[in-house]
Amino acid sequence: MTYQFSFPYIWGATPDLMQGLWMTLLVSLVSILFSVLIGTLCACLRTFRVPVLSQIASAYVHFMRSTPLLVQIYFIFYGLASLGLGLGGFWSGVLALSLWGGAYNSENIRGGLSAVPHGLREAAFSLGLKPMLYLRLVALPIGLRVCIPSMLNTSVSVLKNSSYLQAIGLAELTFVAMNRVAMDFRTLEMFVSIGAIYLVIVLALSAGVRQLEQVLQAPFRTA
Amino acid sequence: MSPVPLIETAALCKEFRGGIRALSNVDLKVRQGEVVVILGPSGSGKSTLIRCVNGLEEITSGAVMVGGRRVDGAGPGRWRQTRLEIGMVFQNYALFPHLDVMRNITLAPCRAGLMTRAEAEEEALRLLGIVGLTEKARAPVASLSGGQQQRVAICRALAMKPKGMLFDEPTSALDPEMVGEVLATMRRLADDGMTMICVTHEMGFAREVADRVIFMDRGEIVEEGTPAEFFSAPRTERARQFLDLIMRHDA
Repeated sequence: MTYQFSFPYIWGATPDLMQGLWMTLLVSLVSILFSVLIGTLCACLRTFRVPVLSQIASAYVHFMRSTPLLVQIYFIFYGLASLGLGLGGFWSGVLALSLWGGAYNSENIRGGLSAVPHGLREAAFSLGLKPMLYLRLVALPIGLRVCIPSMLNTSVSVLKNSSYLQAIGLAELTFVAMNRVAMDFRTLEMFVSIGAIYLVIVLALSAGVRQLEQVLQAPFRTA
Repeated sequence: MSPVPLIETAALCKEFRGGIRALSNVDLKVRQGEVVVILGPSGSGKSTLIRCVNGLEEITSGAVMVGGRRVDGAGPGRWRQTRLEIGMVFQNYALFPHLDVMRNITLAPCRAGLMTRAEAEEEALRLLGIVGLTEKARAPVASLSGGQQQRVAICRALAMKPKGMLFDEPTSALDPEMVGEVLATMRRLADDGMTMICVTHEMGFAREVADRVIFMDRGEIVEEGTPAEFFSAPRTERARQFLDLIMRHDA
């Protein structure tokens, strides 16, 4: 009994896969955006040692890093629903991935901020800039540039980990593939297909970020 | 000369963590328009002293007065106000590397509400003209030499229209051939009547530009006087030793 790999089957499944891809992209990009915002906020709170809030941020980072993502997803989807705070599949997914990615980005960005030379802080203060302005105009523009590669890492993980959301029934790429497999048992075709699709979108994301980095690094290059 | 000194410290003491005493009982008065050069061996507290004047170091005891008003102990708002009045130039320039020359100069005056963007850019061009860097206005900081960066840093401080300027070893990080251009800028500033406190190892600058030389050692002011007095007839043994070493090094 030999398995006959069928390209026409993949062709037939393409509309379903495209719908799944769209959902994967949507949930991932929204989550990446929020994870950068959450990460930036937490990193600033910790870098500037804001009382109470920086401890909360630190506890949040440790909590997210020390529990499995799947458990977090289940907690947010089922746990919150049982408390009467059900968010539905999409927003539960966004919340879980954003909080997860935010924790990692918090550490990435904290590293970036600590790479900003101390002298720039003194220079900014000696010019009478308020701490918030120093943060916004000097520290973050420099620190975020430094940690773009590590933020890309985390963003790629967020994108790939969106496949966990099939566990709560969100019709993203992996869910669609699993569904087709359950109906037609064409396992090889489906998993090769979605593997290839994940590969392509991650490569595209990486290429895009590399371009962004080129642009942002321009002022630092000597002519 | 106004009767109230622009910058004054009284019985200023600074101890770093671990009980290292950087300054003990430093009394310093700098009049409006005066150029004071602080000399002394490394570790003598020169830099710490001027960093205390604009609050980059928290003082342990004593007082700092700017324009006759006590600055220390009044919270960050008062320090910020003082920093708007007293410019500072650092040894390592500390220009903002992600901004071009123009934005480096205009950033603070715009944000402090001192002037509009257009006014700040006009002022920046005027200052760049004085230091001979007009054509670098849109250059990225990384493309400038050390001497050019330091001249831009001086412009950045001057754009705030300060009443006084602090220089913390402004030429110590420069290649020898670039020291002259920065000193020339400082000399011009002194000629225009700017109140300046300069920590430097440039003896020629101290001799020719300073109104008063202060010699520090181990956190104390050991000797002060006009450059002529200090360089030709130092009164203290420690100053004599210091000058001996410097002269031998120069030769």
